[in-house]
Amino acid sequence: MKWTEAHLTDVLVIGAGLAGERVAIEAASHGHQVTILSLVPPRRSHSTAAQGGMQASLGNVAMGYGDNPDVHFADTVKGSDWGCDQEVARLFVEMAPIAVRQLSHWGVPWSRVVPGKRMLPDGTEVEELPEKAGLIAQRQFGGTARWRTCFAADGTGHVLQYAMDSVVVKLGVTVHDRTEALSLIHDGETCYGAVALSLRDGSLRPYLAKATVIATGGYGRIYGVSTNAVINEGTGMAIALDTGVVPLGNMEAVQFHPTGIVPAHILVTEGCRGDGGYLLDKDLHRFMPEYEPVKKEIASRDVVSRWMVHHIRRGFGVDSPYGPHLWLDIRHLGREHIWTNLREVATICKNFLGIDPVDSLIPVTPTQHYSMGGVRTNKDGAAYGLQGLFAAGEAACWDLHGFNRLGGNSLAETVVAGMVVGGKVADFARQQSMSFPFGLVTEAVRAQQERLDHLRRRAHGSEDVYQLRRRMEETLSDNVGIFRTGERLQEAVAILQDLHQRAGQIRLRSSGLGPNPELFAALRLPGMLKLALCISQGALQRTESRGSHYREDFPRRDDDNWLKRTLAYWPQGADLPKLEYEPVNITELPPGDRGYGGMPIAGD
Amino acid sequence: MAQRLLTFEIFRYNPASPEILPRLQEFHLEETQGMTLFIALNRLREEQDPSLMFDFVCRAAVCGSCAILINGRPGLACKTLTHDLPDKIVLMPLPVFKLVGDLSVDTGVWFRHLNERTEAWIHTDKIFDRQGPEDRMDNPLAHQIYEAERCIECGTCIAACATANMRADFLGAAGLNRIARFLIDPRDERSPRQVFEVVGTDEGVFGCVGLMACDDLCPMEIPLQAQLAHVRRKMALAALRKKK
Amino acid sequence: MELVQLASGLFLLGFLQFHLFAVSTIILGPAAFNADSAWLDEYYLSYLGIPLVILAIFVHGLVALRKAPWKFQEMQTYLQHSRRLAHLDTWAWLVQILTGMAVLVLAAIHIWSTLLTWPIEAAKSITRVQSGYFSLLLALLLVAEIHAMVGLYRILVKWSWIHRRKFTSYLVYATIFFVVLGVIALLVFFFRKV
Ligand SMILES: Cc1cc2nc3c(=O)[nH]c(=O)nc-3n(C[C@H](O)[C@H](O)[C@H](O)COP(=O)(O)OP(=O)(O)OC[C@H]3O[C@@H](n4cnc5c(N)ncnc54)[C@H](O)[C@@H]3O)c2cc1C
Ligand code: HEM
Ligand code: HEM
Ligand code: SF4
Ligand code: F3S
Ligand code: FES
Repeated sequence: MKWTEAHLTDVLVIGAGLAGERVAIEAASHGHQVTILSLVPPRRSHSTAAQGGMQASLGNVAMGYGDNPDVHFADTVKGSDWGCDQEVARLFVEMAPIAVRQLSHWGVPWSRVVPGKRMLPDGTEVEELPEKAGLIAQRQFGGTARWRTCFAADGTGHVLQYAMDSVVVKLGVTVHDRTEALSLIHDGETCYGAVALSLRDGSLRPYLAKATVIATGGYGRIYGVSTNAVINEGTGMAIALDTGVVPLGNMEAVQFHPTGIVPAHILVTEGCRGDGGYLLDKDLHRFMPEYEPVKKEIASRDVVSRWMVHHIRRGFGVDSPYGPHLWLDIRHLGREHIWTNLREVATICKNFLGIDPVDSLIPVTPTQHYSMGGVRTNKDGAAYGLQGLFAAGEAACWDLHGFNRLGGNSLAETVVAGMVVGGKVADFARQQSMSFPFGLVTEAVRAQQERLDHLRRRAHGSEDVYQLRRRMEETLSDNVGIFRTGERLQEAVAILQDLHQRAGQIRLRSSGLGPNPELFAALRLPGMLKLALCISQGALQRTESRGSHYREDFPRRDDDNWLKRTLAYWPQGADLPKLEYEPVNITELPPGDRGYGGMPIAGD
Repeated sequence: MAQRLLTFEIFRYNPASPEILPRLQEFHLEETQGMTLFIALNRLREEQDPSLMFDFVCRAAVCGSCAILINGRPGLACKTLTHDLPDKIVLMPLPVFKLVGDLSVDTGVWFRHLNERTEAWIHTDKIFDRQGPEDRMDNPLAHQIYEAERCIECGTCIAACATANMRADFLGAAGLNRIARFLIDPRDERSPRQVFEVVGTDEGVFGCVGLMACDDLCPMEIPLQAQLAHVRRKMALAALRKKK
Repeated sequence: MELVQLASGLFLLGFLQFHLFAVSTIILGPAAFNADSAWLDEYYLSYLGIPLVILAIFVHGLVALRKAPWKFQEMQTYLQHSRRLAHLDTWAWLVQILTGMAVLVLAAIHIWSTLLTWPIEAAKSITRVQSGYFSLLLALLLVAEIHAMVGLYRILVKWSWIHRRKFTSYLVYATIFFVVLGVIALLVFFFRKV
């Protein structure tokens, strides 16, 4: 390794999604030199795919009058099935409105309130007051007591990411795209940066920093069938886990979104149901009111997804070559509404289904969507186990979401966490001086170089990376899905352990030179398998049902034994994660009834 | 319906192996129902040649990563159905942008540079007030800004434009559309005169000769003709005022 | 620069159409034609107009052609690009440049020959047309009209509020109309006895 190639910076942010960029902006505006690494140009990060919106209790629209942080807090805690950290949730709900307004200041074209009377699809009439005209508008999302989700048509993530990146460009923050962090440089106590791989030419380079932030988003792609982008492979979480000292929190909490389209598994936003869309079965019957008389289609995602699968299991699914699905019906919202407020949905339907939702039904099925789990941090975003390591956004378990995230709370989390954690990172970096144990850095680079060389030599092994990967995806989708049982989980753990072992025997079919995709896939797979094992093992051990984690053999929430968070560690050389548990921080709202999803679904 | 056997001719070049010259390589694949180029290319990579380089991120036509030349025309590979293409499909990387390898090109650096050149951010002296309410805006105006903001920086309009192919420093439709987006946004306090300094040149709006390939091929269907005309009129006015 | 191009293009466009109408008066007979010419002379319009037109052609040519692909490399890129893209508007630009250059050559010959036999009279024109200028003028008519109409299309595309799908067909009709008018006038020149 040549030292001239080392990149030095005050703050290293791994990930250029909304969370990473917001952290970077905060740190840079405190005068630090910041470098961002990303697999792709920032504006291609998965955050841009978010459609529906971002929650903040502004109370600007008629159906949101009287909203305030307290109501938002209660919704969030209930949504999480009391799994979240209430101190974090409180901090979050207080800051969310500031975040939304600051984004407006940075140029986000939020949709605005238009005064006047209007009829909702269910027949109620609402009147938007003239004094609210031109303020940021909000729509309804699942699991919320008031309309609270701020939106820009249905390209919210896109406009947020573009506004955020415009500030990054303005501040002149360095961005190295097509660069993947492969491992963290640490000595078991302090993190000094990361070893990164150039996806342009396959070369390695150490990035050294006073503070390192993981903001790498979710891991949806380990499920194969997912609404996530193909780059969401969870590598950021995996490199934290690889340290052996940083735990991942609540990995068994995996969210399934009710409306992924069939067969492309692209998401259509919750806004469809929030704006008044229905779910229909094969008899075109609207079934949700039977299961959830009050919230109907807009109960929280875990609940709606479960009822959908339950309904399909009862034989009401629509048959298709891709398995049974249900229908999403937004026809009654009308052409004008669909082609303005749900425009990206309409475009997706046109491109990938060849239909116009103005007059056709949309085939949907619950699909893996979000990772509540991630790098466990304290409320400042500092990772457990290593000094100088932070995490934010979907990659982190800050623990705002507990066992189920509310729609619209994730975009809000990325930005709010970015502000909060960015501030803490800036404070930390200010107190730190630049100093690096040279031997450690050389050794960290050498270890990764060795992995690369080993794969490129193609001397050993016989396993095919794509086949192993496919097997992992199927295992998770089949055995660790919406409904889980001890038996199936046990089986999953066994298969995944075997795959993990075989992943050490991969032999490349191509040369592995240059920007070689097979090499990159081979480098990522072991980490992905570790995450899969954390999820499966965590789910197997948690013998209760909470939020998105649903055990058919233990269909009820069990606060006496399980009101606690899972921490998964991966000791060096182990073949299974080591699980520990910590209590959940409850400050305001003691565990109670969520008000929806009360009916356990067992024994069918 | 009898299944078609598709023939792909794909541009291959790996800068790490320069001794192998750029070439077109032929592949064959059975078409399946609803097959997109995303599905086809991934299958080719997994089953036939694992070194094949191409870019996808969202695979849902919202991130702009996957534009390539499909039978000569630039477009998003993820939303292109093989069903709409002939039996023989020629895939090439986008021109103008720097080649990474095979079908993969470096659009990110190009667009970052564009955004720096056009200073594509809100210029304002206002200081954000954390406690106060947000500034108001009319909903139709918000929609109008959104319309221009929908650009996903895919590079299709750049690759499609003969001018951009010939002149490396031409901003292209994406750049001019970005200008339009900030011109109509009242939060950006730059005057048309200030904008003129940046784009009132032959590399900017006056470099465009109205070929309209951009307008025809933009996958987001952004009304680029209208956006370009808007900028052009504004810039011409700014130029006239300046002379006086 | 762009404004100069717009102005010169528009001016020439106006001139061409006016000029065509003027010349077309031959259809009504030599008398009308001569009257026309004389009227113009009388008001010094010709003396002012002719140099102006020549100047305008000059300026326009210079300004408009600055964007043409002069370097061989560029030309190659352009041609390769057009072939690949198979896109109508992109080809149209090539047509614009080529017809523009053709107009330059043909119009130069034409103006020069016309001015040699000053003033303009129907008789002289008729002889000229019959003595071999017919094909040159026919060619000039075609390229000039195509160039002018594609030019007008481009102006509308580049400056106006209207979406191009809405006006394309009108422009095609207009082109056909002017070409037909021009051809009739030419034929009249050709078959009329002096
Ligand atoms: C289809 C869809 C719709 C959604 N809609 C909504 C919604 O309406 N409302 C809402 O609140 N939430 C929504 N979400 C969730 C929300 O979009 C995400 O949770 C959030 O955007 C995550 O942001 P992030 O910054 O944490 O990560 P991301 O935006 O995923 O960014 C991750 C970044 O990390 C980089 N990266 C990853 N690994 C590495 C590595 N090893 N080295 C270097 N860089 C790396 C990537 O390049 C990328 O830049 C949606 C999610 C999906 C999938
Ligand atoms: C400014 C000087 C010009 C003068 C004095 C002039 C005069 C004339 C005259 C007298 C004729 C009748 C035929 C003849 O006598 O040969 C004619 C025909 C014609 N001119 Fe010109 N002209 C001028 C410039 C142009 C230019 C710049 C163009 C092209 C852009 C043009 C295009 C034509 C055409 C196409 C015809 C044939 C019309 C037909 O179809 O009947 N002229 N012009
Ligand atoms: C000297 C010969 C000429 C040459 C070389 C020439 C060349 C060109 C070229 C290259 C363009 C395209 C420029 C661009 O789109 O940026 C153009 C545009 C145009 N030309 Fe000509 N031209 C000539 C004569 C004429 C004449 C005689 C007329 C009038 C009938 C005319 C009318 C136009 C118009 C209306 C445009 C569109 C202007 C614009 O795009 O702003 N040209 N010309
Ligand atoms: S304007 Fe359209 S074609 Fe051009 S980069 Fe943006 S989305 Fe792509
Ligand atoms: S294709 Fe190019 S020349 Fe102008 S109209 Fe579009 S930018
Ligand atoms: S992969 Fe995102 S646009 Fe095609």
